[in-house]
Amino acid sequence: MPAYHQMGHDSWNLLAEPRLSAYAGVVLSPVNDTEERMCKQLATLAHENLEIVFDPQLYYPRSDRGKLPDWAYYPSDVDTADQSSLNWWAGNLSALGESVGNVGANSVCSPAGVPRSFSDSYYSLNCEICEATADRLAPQGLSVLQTVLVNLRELAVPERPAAIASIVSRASAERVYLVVVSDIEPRREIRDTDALKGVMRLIRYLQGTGIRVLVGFVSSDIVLWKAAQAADCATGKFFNLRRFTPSRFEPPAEGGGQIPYWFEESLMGFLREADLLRIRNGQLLSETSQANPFAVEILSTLDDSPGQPWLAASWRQYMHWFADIEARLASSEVDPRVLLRDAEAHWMRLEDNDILMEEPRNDGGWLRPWRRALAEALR
Amino acid sequence: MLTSGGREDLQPVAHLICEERGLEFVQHQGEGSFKQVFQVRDTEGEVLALKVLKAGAASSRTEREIEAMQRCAHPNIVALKAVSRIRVEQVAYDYVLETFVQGGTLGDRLRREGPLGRAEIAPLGHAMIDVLAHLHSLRLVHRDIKPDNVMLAEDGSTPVLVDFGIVRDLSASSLTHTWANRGPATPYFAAPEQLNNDKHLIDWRTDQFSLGVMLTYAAFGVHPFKCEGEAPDSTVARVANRGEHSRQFLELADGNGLLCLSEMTQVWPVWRYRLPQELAAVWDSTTGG
Repeated sequence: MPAYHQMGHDSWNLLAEPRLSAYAGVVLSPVNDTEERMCKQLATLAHENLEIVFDPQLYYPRSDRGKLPDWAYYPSDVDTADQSSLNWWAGNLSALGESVGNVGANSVCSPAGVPRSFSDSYYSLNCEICEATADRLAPQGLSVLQTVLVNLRELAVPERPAAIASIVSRASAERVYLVVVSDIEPRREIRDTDALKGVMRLIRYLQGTGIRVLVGFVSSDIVLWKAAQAADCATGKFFNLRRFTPSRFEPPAEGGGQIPYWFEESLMGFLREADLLRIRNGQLLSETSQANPFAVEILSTLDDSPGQPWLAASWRQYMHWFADIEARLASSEVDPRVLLRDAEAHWMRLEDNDILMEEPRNDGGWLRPWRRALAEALR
Repeated sequence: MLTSGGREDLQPVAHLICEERGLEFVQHQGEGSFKQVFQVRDTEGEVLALKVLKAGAASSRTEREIEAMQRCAHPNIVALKAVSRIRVEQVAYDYVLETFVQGGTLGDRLRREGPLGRAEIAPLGHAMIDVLAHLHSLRLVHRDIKPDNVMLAEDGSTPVLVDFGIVRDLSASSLTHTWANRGPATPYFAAPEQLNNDKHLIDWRTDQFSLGVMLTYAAFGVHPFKCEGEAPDSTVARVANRGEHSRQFLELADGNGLLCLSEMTQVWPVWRYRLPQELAAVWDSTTGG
């Protein structure tokens, strides 16, 4: 039950990082690389042990998105096509198969668009697209994952998870690539308990049928998805709460435009530098953080060379934590209820001692909804 | 051809068909909304069912029914022998010839003799699950599995599924309008997705639900959702509202080692067995079928 790299802008160097070798697979992003560059990067990488998953990312095919239009499989009639037509999707599968073959991926996610309305007919069409993808690409030796995009808010409706899971589980694919679409702005955790419960139930129902769920675009919410029995979770360096939203496909600001964040397990939160120092002084850094090689690197940078940038190390610190917590949750070494309960208690301790974070909403307030979701979703 | 009561009498048409095809007319067998059924015998002595559709009754649904039956090839599904049309006095009548199953319906048998013993339930379930697997492989959903649509062969026990009148071909577009309050089905044996016209939730697991209800009825004489003293309409409403199994059913299923019936009749398809082979394995291991 491994973690997957979710590739984003300029992420290749992370795949070569030996201290991030716990990742078992990579979800490629054709939005960020041309076919030529992706092939070149993969050729230089020792990836025999990595599962290479190709996500065609035709989510918003109405406009140009990054490098997508450079790919041979990107449909030239995208602006005029009827995207509710199975024939249109199926007609593009040969070209997709060729691109995926050139890249040398082991697996491919069925193409799927983000709809205006996440209706039953939309999920039915996705099932059919998945079947067509399997018919066309499985003979190439590719494992096909059914892409399932779900609207976070809609999953708060009590019967939706079971209805969606009922449709999705009709497809013959044994794996699902689950993407939660939301309009929550970056740097905010999901606080809607009912929606969280909905996602957890959807995962649990699918896993209960024997379908293996790979949740994409995951962040610290991995704790909830793993508790719901998600087999695999994917994250990337930008998923320190940069979610699956339309804006995700805009290239991020480079280097100095970004602020480094430290992920602190004892608080289940992301901290800016000044907050990290406060927490450190308050003896609240978790043992896990202290054992994280990139965390150690960051702390020594802060001690020895104050003012030195540590953005690249911050991505690695988070990604190391992610793979580590995934393994500990999968092996039941960590009880998610205890993890969240303790984190909430630590935030309360900070509050009681007037230790406040720089960002006003960085107060651990999401932990109560998370704990409720955990307690109620799996009853 | 109308009788004095205004009812359409298709027996003369049946006689003409027999004449044209060299068949021997045996007797009138029964009548549905759109057709009349006759027993006939071919030159080799095999008894067949001749179904004559009322004039103008042929529809998209009839075409789907015939297409579906033509694709099926299973010992527990009624075999279609011929499909044709005859013109009588400028009126066209469509008709089909099927194998005639001699032993009456399972419904008649249950009404006459009560629930079946375990020794009979096991092979009945095994055969019907195999039928569902066959239909699933053809992307067909029967949508009307019930004791009255299961004939028993001459041996009195081999089931044969009949009446594909509301079969759904998942490869073709649905013929049921989205605005309809309820999809086509026999309500007492229908799954919640049929009762609520949740068209996109219909697949082989819909038949699995109906089969689960039918096997429960055949084994225990009850509906899995029926509370004691309750009218059938209330039971159907409970299924439509995705309510809970009755305590009586759960006790019977548990006490008889047939809890798989509870899985088969879960209110959401995703909670039922996902694949026919999975259901078959569980059924055979629990019943020794």
